[in-house]
Amino acid sequence: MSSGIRPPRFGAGKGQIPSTVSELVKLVQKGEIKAQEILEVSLQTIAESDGEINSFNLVLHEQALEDAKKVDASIAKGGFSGRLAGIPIAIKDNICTRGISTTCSSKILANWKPPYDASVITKLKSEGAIIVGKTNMDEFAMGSSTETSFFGPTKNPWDKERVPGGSSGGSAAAVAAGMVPLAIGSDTGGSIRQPASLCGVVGIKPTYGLVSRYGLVAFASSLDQIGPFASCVDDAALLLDVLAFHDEKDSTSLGRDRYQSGNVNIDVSSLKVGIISNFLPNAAESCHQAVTDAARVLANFGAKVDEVDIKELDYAIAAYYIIAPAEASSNLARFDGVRYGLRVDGADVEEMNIKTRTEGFGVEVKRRIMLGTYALSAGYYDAYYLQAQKIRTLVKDAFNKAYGKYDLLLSPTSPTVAFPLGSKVADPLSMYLSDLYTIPTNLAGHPAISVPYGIGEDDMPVGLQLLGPALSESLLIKVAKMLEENNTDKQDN
Amino acid sequence: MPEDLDKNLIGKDEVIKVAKLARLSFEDDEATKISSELSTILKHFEAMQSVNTENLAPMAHSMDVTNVLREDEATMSLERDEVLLSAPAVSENRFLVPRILKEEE
Amino acid sequence: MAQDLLNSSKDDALTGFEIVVGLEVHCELLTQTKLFCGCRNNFGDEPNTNICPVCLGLPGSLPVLNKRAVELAMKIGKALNCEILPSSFHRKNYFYPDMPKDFQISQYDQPINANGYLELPDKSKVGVVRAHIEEDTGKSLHIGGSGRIAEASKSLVDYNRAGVPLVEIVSAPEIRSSEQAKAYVQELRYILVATGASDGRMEEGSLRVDANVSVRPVGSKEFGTRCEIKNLNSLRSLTQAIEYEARRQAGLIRDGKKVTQETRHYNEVTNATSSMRSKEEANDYRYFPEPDLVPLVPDASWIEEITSDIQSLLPATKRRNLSSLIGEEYQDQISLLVEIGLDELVLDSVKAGADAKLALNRVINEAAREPEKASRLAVKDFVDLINMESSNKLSATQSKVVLQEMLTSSDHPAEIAKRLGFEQMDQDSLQDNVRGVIEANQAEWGRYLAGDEKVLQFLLGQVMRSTKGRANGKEVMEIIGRLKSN
Repeated sequence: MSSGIRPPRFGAGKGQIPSTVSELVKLVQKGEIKAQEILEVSLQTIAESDGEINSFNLVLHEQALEDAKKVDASIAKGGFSGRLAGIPIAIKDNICTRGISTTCSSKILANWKPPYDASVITKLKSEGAIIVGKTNMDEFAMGSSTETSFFGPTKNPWDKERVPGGSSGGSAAAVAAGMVPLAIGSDTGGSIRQPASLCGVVGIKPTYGLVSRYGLVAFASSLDQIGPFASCVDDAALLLDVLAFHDEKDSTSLGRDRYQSGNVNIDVSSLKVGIISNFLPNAAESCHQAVTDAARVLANFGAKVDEVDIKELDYAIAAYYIIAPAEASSNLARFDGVRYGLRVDGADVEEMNIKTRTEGFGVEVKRRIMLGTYALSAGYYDAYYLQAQKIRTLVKDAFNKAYGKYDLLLSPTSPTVAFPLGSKVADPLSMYLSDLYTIPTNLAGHPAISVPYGIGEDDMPVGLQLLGPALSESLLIKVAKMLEENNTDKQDN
Repeated sequence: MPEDLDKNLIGKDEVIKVAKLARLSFEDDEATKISSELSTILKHFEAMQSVNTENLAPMAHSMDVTNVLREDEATMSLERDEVLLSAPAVSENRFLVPRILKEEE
Repeated sequence: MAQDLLNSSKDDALTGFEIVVGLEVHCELLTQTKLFCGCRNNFGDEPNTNICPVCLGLPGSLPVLNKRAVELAMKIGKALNCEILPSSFHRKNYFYPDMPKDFQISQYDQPINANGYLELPDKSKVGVVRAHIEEDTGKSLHIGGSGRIAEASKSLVDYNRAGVPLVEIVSAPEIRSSEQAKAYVQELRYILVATGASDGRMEEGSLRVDANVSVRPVGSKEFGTRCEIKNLNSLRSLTQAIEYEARRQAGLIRDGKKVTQETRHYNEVTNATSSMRSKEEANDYRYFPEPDLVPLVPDASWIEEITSDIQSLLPATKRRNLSSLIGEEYQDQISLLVEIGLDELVLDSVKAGADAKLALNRVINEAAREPEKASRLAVKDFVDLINMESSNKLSATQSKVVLQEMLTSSDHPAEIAKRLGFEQMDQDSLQDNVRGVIEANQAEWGRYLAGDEKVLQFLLGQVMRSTKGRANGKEVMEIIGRLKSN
């Protein structure tokens, strides 16, 4: 088996790019570096590496250049306080961008250009971020390897014979390969955290409702959240801070005030941390080791670290694979060939619908639509969907009980390091099981962060997952940063 | 594969019925494969069925938000031309579809 | 068969059977904007001009509930004597090209209103099982054939109506005749208009009725198999469809055949119902909670604020108020007054001292011809008019003419009367006038004196003619009476 080599961070060896986004933004705002120059670094890196990695479905050369010029112009004119002034960012291709194709890596939307921007896109633009392109993903975010994309798989920048994880594999790989300093993805059952872990970057799945979903093409509406990717915790935290705002267009939007009321001022020496022990037996050695190492570091800082068995979480994956496909089967009904996207002609509407959907969707999407339709259909609803919803309560209750005792919980993000391309794609069940540790968080609506922690089998990166109760992002970020600083295998370039 | 069929939780007939609801179609061998895959998946998650959930309320939303409402005030609609531009077929400023009811035999 | 059913008399075909009807009425709410987005809720606009990512179901769009729609739904609930409850939204999943998301957002097991009733003018009550909020679909134009869906070769879809707020009002199967069904829909329509929830325009589809019809042998406690007749868009269609369908079902049962539960279409031209090919052959709607909308839990103070004035707006309340003032015997006129919205004019006038019967008659017979103008009459002016008439300052004929004038001008009735020269004749000149008429019609006067009372009307008419209507009829009669006994 091949082994991994750490790819260079954004801007490494390409002029005077500082290692964090906040430093870079300061330079831009002071006019010491131009947004255009930063964009040039991004586009150049994409040109050099993305032919092989395939993290972008679309690169916006001209539009991005125009946007960068605008930022430079407003700074020259007398200042621009955008929190992401001039920072190139990659957008997962299931987030709507006006007039710019938004494909969900599906044939059925291959040529669709939304007539509107997602709320997060409007926000990013207003903060001066430069949208560089749309990133590859598992079709409609259904997958854990970015192999179900209609446009072909994305490769892991550490080892191009391996997957980057998924479904936000393109965003994770683009950041890992230094093509952009920031990216956004979406996380329904681990789709930010798992690829972050497999690509050695930071990824945050925010509390459900913290980030607006308006303009995110829905997979499973009650589980989906948009969140940030970055190469370090500070950058991810900065991007999350931009993304967290109240949006009147999303009825489930919580608003910032609740986020800021999070328990920021906890003293690490009084921190109580629980290691989810029932996750450990089926984790690869390196993943298990990362948890043990992190626990030792935290204990050294005075935190109280325990093992806790939350056996209810073992049922989460079953509930998830009923609820998510059920919602998806309904969310994806609209792709019927009538209003937008692909149409394959038929003698009547039903035949046209069937031909369009059968040709337009890939195998995994059809599999999940079938599973979800079945789970909701008459005679099976109670046994599957309703039971899954009750399990969801069970999982949330179990989490909340644990959070009565612990400030946060600790686990590996993924059971293994990045696996070889093609190794699981024929076996849906084994693919589903790669989200074992990330899924429970989505069911509960809680936040979690994946932070790189050590190097595992075949020199591939390992990710550590910190989980907390609703709106505990500030705490998770604080502890993640501490672990990042004390990572035994710190990035040194 | 065929000898496994009756062990499947979701038989081929069921697959065909569900596909019709979902407006998908499968060739015969695909239906067989899907039947077996879905059955494997559901069997693996069967443990869920044995959990006693009698006293648990079903959860549709993870957060406790209620009464999110907007004022009854008009906002800008989309430009019709922009919308119709991405439509597969258009006539008289409307979305054109083939006949809705099937031809009578 | 259709012809047979039409020709057979109603009694023949239905003898021994009882009709059972439950109605589902879809009411488009009178909001500025749609249920889940800010697009205008406007009938008759250019196709596909009131559309946005939300009501077009574009990928990524999300619904946000219209507060006014919720308030109108609560008003409807209160008006139908429902409990107003915590509610939630579900998705009803089926494919249809006029439904942009291929699911409809509707309330399912937790409707906002439940367990109410509607009281009809004849005092009978029909249960209202629920009145819930849901979104409307777009509209299809069928091309080819006769323009009917079954013969069309293609269809054109306009999504302006998609997402328009609806309240679906579901009655209990407690309606027992087509007349009662009509009365129910009429009464419901008044209520919906009175509460400001609807414009009540059935011809524009603001109100659409589906009827569940079954028959059963008289005395049977069990319900027969029902058929649902969709989209009845006039009261005439409603009654005719129910009667046709009931006779069809009774005929089937009489012939030892079974009624099949199905959806049927009523054709106004042939006046018959026919089986409709179902939209989704296997009706499995796979309802599940709409994850993009949060529960709706109206608190008591909001409900109170929105619904406190509803009782007074209801036609039943208005009828009750008027009949307690005027008398039970005027039930039909009172119902009519309430229907055309002139009940308050009468009520307020009577309260201000106008003669009740006279006020009722003037409004029903004269003002009702132009209800819109009449509703703008100043109560005080109207009371003055009635008083002028009841104190014999105006004759009935004059009063009617003055009232007609009042509908188009804001002048006081006394001024109008003066302008028209309607000042009352004095007794002497009136007496002279009567005498003159008798002179000129000696033969008739003789017959009257001989006991032919019918001649009286003729003489009265002649006096009216010669006085150009300025005479007071009552006084003329009195004078004639005096002259007779002299």
